[in-house]
Amino acid sequence: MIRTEELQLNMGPQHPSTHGVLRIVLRLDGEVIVEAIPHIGYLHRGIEKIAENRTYTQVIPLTDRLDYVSSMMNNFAYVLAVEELMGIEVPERASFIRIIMAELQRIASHLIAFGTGGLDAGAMTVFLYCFRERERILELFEMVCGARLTYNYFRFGGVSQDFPKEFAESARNFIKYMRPKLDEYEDLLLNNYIFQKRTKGVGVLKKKDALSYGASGPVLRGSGIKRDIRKEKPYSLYDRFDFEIPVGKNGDTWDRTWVRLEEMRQSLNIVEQALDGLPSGKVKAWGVPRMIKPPPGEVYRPIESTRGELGFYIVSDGSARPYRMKVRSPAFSNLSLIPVVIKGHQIADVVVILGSLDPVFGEVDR
Amino acid sequence: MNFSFLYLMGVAGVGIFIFIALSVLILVWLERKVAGHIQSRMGPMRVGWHGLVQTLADMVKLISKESILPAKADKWLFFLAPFVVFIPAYLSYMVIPFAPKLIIRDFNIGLLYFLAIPSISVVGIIMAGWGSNNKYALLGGLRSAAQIISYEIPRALSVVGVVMLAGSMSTVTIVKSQSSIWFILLQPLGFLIYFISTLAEVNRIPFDLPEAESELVAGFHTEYSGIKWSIFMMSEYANVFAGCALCVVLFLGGWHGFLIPKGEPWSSVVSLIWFMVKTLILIFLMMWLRWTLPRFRVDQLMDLSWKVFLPLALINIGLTGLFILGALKLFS
Amino acid sequence: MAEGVFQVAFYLFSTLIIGSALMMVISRSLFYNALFLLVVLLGTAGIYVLLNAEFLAAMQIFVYAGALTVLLLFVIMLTTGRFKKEAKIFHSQSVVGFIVAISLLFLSLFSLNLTSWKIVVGETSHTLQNLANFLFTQYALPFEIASLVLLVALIGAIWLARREEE
Repeated sequence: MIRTEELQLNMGPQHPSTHGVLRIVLRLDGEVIVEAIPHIGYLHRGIEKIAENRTYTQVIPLTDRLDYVSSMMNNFAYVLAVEELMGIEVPERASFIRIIMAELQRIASHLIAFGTGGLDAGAMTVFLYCFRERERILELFEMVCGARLTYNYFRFGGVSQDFPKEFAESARNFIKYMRPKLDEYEDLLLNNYIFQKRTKGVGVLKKKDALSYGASGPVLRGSGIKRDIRKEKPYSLYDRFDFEIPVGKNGDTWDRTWVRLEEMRQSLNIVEQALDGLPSGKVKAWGVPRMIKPPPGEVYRPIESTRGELGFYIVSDGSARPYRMKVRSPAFSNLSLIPVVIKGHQIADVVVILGSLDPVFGEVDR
Repeated sequence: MNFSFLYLMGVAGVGIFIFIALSVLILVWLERKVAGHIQSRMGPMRVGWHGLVQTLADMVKLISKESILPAKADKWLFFLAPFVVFIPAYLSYMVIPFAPKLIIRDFNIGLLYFLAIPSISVVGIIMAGWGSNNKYALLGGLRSAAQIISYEIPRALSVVGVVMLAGSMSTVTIVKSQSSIWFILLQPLGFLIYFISTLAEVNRIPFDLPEAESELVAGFHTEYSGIKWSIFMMSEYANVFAGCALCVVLFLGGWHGFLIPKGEPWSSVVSLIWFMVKTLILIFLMMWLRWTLPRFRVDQLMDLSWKVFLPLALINIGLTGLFILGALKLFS
Repeated sequence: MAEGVFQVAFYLFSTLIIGSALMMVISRSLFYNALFLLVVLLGTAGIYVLLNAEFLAAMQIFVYAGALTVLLLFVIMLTTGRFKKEAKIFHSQSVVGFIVAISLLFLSLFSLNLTSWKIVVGETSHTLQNLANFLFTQYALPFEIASLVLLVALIGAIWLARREEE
């Protein structure tokens, strides 16, 4: 009788497509995966611990380094949490600006996820197209805050500075430019026969598993669960905007990729609405002290980040530094699904499924 | 057989080698340019006119690079593998008729020879995979073996129709019998199967699994560097050219074309240009596909070969037989 | 002159075949054994070419060198763990093997002796068409039987491989 030997394959931490420094130990039977164990921690910088020795304001640039693909989101979540602790009212214009930036950031981040998803399946061109589009968003960001990756743009009670005059027009141009591009990508990748063969029915995440592993964001919505914090527990001014929550049917890799593409469309809608209704006024709340000293207490404020529920849990002892800061990172929870969704698939599927979970290791390891 | 024959073969051998080297230099440049423009980039621009000499510069770099032997690798296998891959690619040029009388050797089984020779290069790929002492390389070698063997069968069967129509396996005769009508018009299915199987044989997207970078790093040549790596690269492009050239021979009328003067000394040259243009169009098509499509998974690849192309190729043979019988009935 | 080249080529191929056949048996790594087998098969194809049997040579490369050796290598690679230890040349089965080999040798010598070697003089360039004619007219039945045997072997192999899965 033919009995094949099991092979143990170490994938990463240096591997062209692990989306960062992830190491997966695979036990293979031929090309079929019997077991997949993720090992993380290669990018651990101890940000949560460092935060305990920084003042509240100094933590904002630290949060940029969590999920470096969508830094605005981290700023947003952290600033919201501290504001809740302090009871600061944010001016309307500042909230609009925040939402515009967050949604642009969502598009930029999803573009990377979508493009690398294509790259994992072997379609290199989509990847480069996505980076070309992302570049335009980065230019918008640069226009607003001068930085392209780690923005440090949000402040307690608002944002660091108002939009420059030409921003609104550039953003509108971008929306006009982006909409047909998204249709193009849908045709190029999602409707491609080979891509569908590679992703439909691959890496199926059941509703039950998704919930019990604490998945969130596109990963959860891909599995058919309509849960979005922007709708469910609207923060900032999200309750004023009109947008849909795309939901997948089968919970496979294709659904997750589709959800991301659809979310980009919705984000474009939100940005457009926000630009239309952008009120005038201040961009920073008046009377926020230089030295933030929240009253003793604790707060947990989740937002719908690009990857799911990003929450900051902050304990204040009344001093100028947070007593404890814990980041609930969506990428970490989503990544923990690896052994569940990868088992029984082939090596070629590992990277595709991993890409659809879209982990960013700055956030996973913190 | 005599010594003048051997001498001639020697000259031809060197000639093919130079031709392969030159065509690889141009094809690599072309690939990078095509990729660049498809991806809204420029591609290489610095060395020479629009980066034309870039490949030459890369070649010099590769030759001067250290050739690394991985720890615990099998020295002999590791060393020999690139040559075992390259030599079949090189030998397959023997039966390609570039123009009337411009062929190294017109075997009466030339086509069969062309289809049989690449199977030796599989062994080279497996040697590379095994000899590197690297699991990614091993998996790449395995995949490649499975893939090339599976696609050899539909590929061989898809040309049977052509052989039936031409009544010969000699590549020259096949081209000659297409003087009035190209076989692509009579054998569209055969052409499709042959072209797609060729894509698989030369490891290009959507079938580039043996070197799928996102999964297997670089497949069987993960551990290779310097000159040995460039030999792999060279044989890959040599195979691309040979595969496309044979496709032209079988289905696109070989050296036939319009505006070829008869009996003039330069009519051969015009024929050669026709042949080259057709081949380059096919190569461009391959590159276009490569930079547009994602890649199949290994089991889907096998399914495609065994469950789709093999039956289709058999049906094609049956239909061709009926067609020939019908034609015989009609015209006799 | 031409005869001389032919002779040289023949002895070259024969030495290659015998040498690598020996190496195939002696070499201790299973992978190398398979590779030397490939050289033997390729050398045989070379001999076929010298005998003007080009079709046979191409098929030899196609089927034996291409498919069979690769299959062997494939199996060796997939079951790599079991053959980590290098094979011994002499072990408990060598006596049986020796007897089998000797009897096979005598059998083939005997049959070689029995065959009357007719020398075909004349046109041999159309080997392909002749072969096809013979296969599909005079020897149609044996040809079909041979393919049936192969089919049965194929089905048997699939069945054997399958049973373990259930």
